[in-house]
Amino acid sequence: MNHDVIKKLEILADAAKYDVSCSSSGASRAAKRGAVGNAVSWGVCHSYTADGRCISLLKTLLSNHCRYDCAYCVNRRGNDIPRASFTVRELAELTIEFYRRNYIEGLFLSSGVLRNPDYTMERLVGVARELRNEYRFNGYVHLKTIPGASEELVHEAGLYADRLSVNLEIPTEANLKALAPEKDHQSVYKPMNYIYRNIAASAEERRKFRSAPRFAPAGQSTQLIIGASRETDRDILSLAASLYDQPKLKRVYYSGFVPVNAYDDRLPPLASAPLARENRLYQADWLMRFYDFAAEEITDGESPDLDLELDPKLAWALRHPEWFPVDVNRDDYHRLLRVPGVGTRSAGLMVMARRRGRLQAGHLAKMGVVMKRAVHFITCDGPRAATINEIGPARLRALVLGGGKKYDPRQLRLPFL
Amino acid sequence: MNLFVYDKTFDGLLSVIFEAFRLKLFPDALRGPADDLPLLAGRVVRVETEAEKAGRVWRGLQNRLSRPALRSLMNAWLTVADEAADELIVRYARRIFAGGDEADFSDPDVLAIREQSQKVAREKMHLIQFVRFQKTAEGIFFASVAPRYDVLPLVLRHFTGRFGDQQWIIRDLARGYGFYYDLTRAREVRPDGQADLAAGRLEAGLPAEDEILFQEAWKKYFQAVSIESRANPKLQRQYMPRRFWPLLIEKQ
Ligand code: SF4
Repeated sequence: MNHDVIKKLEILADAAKYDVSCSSSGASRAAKRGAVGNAVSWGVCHSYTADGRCISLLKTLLSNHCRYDCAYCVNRRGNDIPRASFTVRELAELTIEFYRRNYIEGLFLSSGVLRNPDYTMERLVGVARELRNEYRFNGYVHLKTIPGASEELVHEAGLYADRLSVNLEIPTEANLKALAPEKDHQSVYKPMNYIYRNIAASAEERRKFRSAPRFAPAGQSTQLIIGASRETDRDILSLAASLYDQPKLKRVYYSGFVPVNAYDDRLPPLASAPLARENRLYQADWLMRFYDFAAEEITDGESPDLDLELDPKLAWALRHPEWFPVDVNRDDYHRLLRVPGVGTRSAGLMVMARRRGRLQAGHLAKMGVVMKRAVHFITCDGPRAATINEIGPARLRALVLGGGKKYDPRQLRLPFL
Repeated sequence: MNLFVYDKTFDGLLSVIFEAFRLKLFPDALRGPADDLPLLAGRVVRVETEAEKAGRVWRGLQNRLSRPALRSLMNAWLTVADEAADELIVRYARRIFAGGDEADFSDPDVLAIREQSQKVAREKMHLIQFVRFQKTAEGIFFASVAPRYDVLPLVLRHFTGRFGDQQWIIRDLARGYGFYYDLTRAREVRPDGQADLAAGRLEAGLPAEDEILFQEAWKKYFQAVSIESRANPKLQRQYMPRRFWPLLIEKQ
């Protein structure tokens, strides 16, 4: 360890920071004797950045040298920026020492493309190999798969990593080709499907033999860049839904395009990253994964894009007054989930509590229902407010938005849906 | 107003519950032995802590409560020093023994037990998140914490599981004790005679050779991943309350 490595870390962590898929949840590893580390299924944030994001993993590139020239990327070949590369040994040591101090849950590693995909992938795998075999590291590892790397390397990566990801980046192939001529969707879908088959096979094996090796036990994920190309939210969400369905991705991450390389006129002129849109997409994704919403329902409005002023669940509810009011004392869990202001937790509590007595507005607030929102969509015992059908969707919308508070995307948190 | 005085231990509180049922008289307020009694206290009952009585009440609760509910009650007890959770527990126990339902969240006390328990669970989580070890020259990983409640014992399993192959010490600065894990088990240690426990931070000269470099690397990493143009200190504080900052290397 020396100051040189710290310099590299500064460059390479900075280069990796716009990649958002930094969550360590979904993996569970029991502690082993003589080894260091475990992974807990809910993921742990060890710190929070000045902008309030969770720091869970050491997220860095192995190298920001790259032989490709993707229009949307700071690390593209043509850019004149400080470049650095870790050696396998340096990065493995940094990871284990951070971990032992309880700074991090593990490592999230990606890289620019060095000489060729295999040469690069071999180094990424090398870091994981050294961590697992030499340091007996039992914490979380997420490896990026370099498109075009050989199946042997992807396979070895899956044996060490908890999660693998291959980034689609640009949602449609035509737009990808325009912005990154050296890439195509085939080089992403191939490893994605290969990983999918291996995960399924390993799960099957482990049903028979508990000792069969695990392959990427926390599954695989991908990332989409939002706003560098012209896809609509409808396109993006239906792509995400199909990825959850078939290669069974655990997560799709949406990364609002941070305007870089403004000199490149293939990119849309953007003043800043489309954060509000990114947030709405995450909320929509949340609805698909936990609230039984289909992609088509979320974008069944007139516009193919999400409403930036309203969270997608409220927006959906305003388009569907025929669903309401929901009777909190009678309707089932899935209907309760559709009520704006009701979350999975409060819906669960309501179902439990009403077995013992009728629910009133006061009870709901205590269970965490955001009553300000929910009142217009439910009926319960006691005094009640005017429902959406009495007020009318358009007026209710104005009412909700008229709160006077200026829209601030940073204030949006997911669980309030 | 009925006032019960007890020794502020958990067994003491269970004894209070026992006495309350025996006397058919329930406390409106509880006080510790050193507390001043209000001038207008009505009846004052001084309860002796007795293992036998406490045991009977505890078994009674075990019979009536599910394991999660029992754990919630234990968690709620940990907030007693700060939030008069003892009075809440007595009301809750009274209700449970009268046949009340542990999951009837329309009852304010049932809900309050759950909420207190969640506060403890959050504090426990904060320790798991924000403990920062520093490696000493002897190779021991050392951390100081100051949690709001006495939750250090609740995280031992987590830390022995995760850091089973390294020696560590975690010290609770607020309560003046800690745990030392010697590669076999975590033992409680009190500061008397423990030179390395007496100082909240490691003295200069004590850290391992590379320690300062790794701290520096971590600070630089922390700065590198922040997106300054999106700074949102309110959100940062909401997730990482300011009271933890003095012990976080990256916030120094
Ligand atoms: S291959 Fe990756 S690192 Fe290289 S320019 Fe493209 S996006 Fe950037």
